[in-house]
Amino acid sequence: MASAVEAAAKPTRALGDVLAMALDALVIMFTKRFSWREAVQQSWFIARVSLVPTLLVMLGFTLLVIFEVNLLLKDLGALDLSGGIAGIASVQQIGPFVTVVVVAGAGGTAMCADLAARTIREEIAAMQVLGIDPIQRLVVPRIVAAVLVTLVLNVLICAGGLAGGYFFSVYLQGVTPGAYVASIPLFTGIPELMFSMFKAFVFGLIAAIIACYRGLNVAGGSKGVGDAVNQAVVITVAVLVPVSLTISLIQFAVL
Amino acid sequence: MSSVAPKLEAIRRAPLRALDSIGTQGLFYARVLGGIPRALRRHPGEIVKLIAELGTGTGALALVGGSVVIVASITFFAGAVAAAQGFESSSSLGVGSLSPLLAAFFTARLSTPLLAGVALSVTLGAATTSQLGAMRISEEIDAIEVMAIPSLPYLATTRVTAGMIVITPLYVFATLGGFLADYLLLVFFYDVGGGNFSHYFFLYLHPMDIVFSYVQVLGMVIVVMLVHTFYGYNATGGPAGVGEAVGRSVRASLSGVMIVNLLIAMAIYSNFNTFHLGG
Repeated sequence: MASAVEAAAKPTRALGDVLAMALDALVIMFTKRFSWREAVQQSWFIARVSLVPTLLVMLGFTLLVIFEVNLLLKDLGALDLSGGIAGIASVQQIGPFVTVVVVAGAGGTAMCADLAARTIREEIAAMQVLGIDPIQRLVVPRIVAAVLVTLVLNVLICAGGLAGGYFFSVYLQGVTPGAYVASIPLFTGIPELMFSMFKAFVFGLIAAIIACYRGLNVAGGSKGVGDAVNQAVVITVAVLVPVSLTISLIQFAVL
Repeated sequence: MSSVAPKLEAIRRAPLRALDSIGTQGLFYARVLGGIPRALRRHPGEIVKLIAELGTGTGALALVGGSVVIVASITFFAGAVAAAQGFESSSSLGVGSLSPLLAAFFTARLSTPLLAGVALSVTLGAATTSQLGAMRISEEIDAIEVMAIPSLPYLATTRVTAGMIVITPLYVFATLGGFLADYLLLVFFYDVGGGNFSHYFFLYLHPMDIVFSYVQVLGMVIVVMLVHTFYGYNATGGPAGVGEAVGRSVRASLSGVMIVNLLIAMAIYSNFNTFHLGG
């Protein structure tokens, strides 16, 4: 009986720990000294590991959607709307999804693996002994870096999706170039772009917090490290997809 | 100056290293796939055990219901996004009652295979890398070799085979999750009539689309399992190396899966377009 209660309490306790760490990080971000050097290094690190997956995942995701929707539009005789659909795809829905995948799968795993390695080598414990707060020195710069890089990646994904969609629609599926460009603003404007950036901001924040939490709370040797990275990416994707839906629904209600 | 020369040397060697790694990976994949008959003959029990393990997950993931629940919930929310965006866009053109059509199209063809690919890579794939990596680091794989059991068919091929088998029930749940989300969101949230929903939804849900999307997911799971077994089987560098291997394998397989999916979809749908609005 006690073990059943314990098992039920475990996920709740983990959630509480994550929230506590996030709150700590939020307070420390504005009260203590911010380590710029670490933030810049981490931004470079996350950008470096995410760039190639971003481009490839974007190609696969956005171009597939544009390709298939063009088939549908061709049947409707509305191929001149393909730019508008490309705008919806790359800016409003698919772009943020690609950001989720890349931030969780590329940035999050790299960050979690790095922190887990330091924890398992007891470097974190050594830092605490030296009186250095790992949240101030490691977690806060990583959260800031992840958010920054996610915003930049989102811009890249939106622009890349539109450009890739242009080549796909115009050169492979025979859409008029002018019609493609002219129909982009039909569904997508500045408010939609702002919501897209807001989504990216939230995704970067959540992915960084989960990755740092799993990385710092790793136990049990080599199996434990692998499992921690695995869980970090699963939890991040599983949390971010519903978050994406929620923000979309808010967007539809507001706009 | 002394720090520039090694960097230049590294840049000069980079193309050769890339070529090397393509060769190594290709050889590994060929040996894994070539070992399928042996694995089926010699290790059927191991495959059955792995099917159960991959389906339900291990450790903390089993607590929430394993890979099946995670994959289905991810495709559920993706289907909900597709339905919501479909409704909003089509009602801005004044054809909101046609949104079940869009939902059927987008969920069956796009959101389910794409998100299922992502979900497979992060659940089945990453778990495999972590497991094999831990075995490599704790020298269990060497121990298996010492016992004169060829470790590649026993560990890698069985996992790829199990992945190909376990994908069928997973895919069923993933698709059902997506369709359930379409129904719930459109009928209860957006007040599209239930009859209207089933009319348009099933009118444009071509059975072949489901088969094609299953083919896409099957292609993706083979890529996912091959990439993840490669990184796990060849993990180096202690416990930290296992984490590093999981990260790298997720990056590699996500990129690979998306490209494979794009190619399969283009090959299928540019030849057999099953969608005919005008009948």
